[in-house]
Amino acid sequence: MAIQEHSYYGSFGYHVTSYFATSSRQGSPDDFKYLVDKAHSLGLFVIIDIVHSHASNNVNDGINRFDGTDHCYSHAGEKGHHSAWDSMIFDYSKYEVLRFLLSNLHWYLKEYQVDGFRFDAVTSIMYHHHGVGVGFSGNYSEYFGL
Amino acid sequence: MLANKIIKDVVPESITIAEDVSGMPTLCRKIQEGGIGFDYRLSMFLPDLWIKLLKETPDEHWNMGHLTHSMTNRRWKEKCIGYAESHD
Repeated sequence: MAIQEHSYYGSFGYHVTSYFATSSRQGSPDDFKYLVDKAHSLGLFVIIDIVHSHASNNVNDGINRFDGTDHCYSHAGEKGHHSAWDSMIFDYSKYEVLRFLLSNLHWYLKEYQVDGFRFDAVTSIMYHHHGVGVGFSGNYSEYFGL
Repeated sequence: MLANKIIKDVVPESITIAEDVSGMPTLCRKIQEGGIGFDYRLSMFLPDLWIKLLKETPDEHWNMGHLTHSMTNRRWKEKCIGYAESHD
C-alpha cells in the first residue's frame, strides 16, 4: 500500500495527488514521524512504497495539467495517459520531472528518515510501451531493443 | 538509475526495491557495472503461486519441483525478495 496523499481511496494509494504529503487518512506528518522513530528504536527498517511510475489524472488536487497545459509533468496527448490504469504518465525526459521526483525521494529520506523505497511499477517506467499488453518471455530483444 | 544513485548518495545504507514484471536483466546490479542499481527485486510470481496453490491444489498434490524452480528462478547474481502476501 502506498502512503503518498491520494484522493481516490480505491487506488490503494497508487493514484497519487500530492507527492510530498503522507496520506491524511492515516494521520498527520508527525504521526508518521513517530511511527518511523518507534520502528527505528526497535531496530526495524522502514521502507515505503513510492509511486513514480504514474500520477493521478486529477487536475484540481493533483499535478496533472499543473500549468494549464497537458504536458507540464507529463507527455502531451494520449502519450501522457496510461490506458490500463487511467492515470497520468510522467515525461522523464523533462528536467523538471527529474527534479520533482528526485527531490521527492530526498524529502522522504531527510524529513521522514525512511530507510528505503519500494519503487512501484518499474516496468511502466522503463519501457515506452509501459508494459501495457506486452508479454515477456525472457528474450533479450524484449529488454534492450526499442 | 538516477534515483538509485541519488538515494545512495544521500543515505548510503538505504535500500531500494523494484517492482518489475518484465524480469529486466541488470535491474539489481550496481550502476558502476552498467546496472540499474536496485538492491532487490520483488519475486512477483510467488504470491500468485501461493494463492493459486492454496485455492486449487490439495496439499498432497503439490509439485515440489515446480515450487523449487519458481522460488529459485532469478537473474544471475541479482537479489530477490520472496513474499507470500500481496494486495495484487
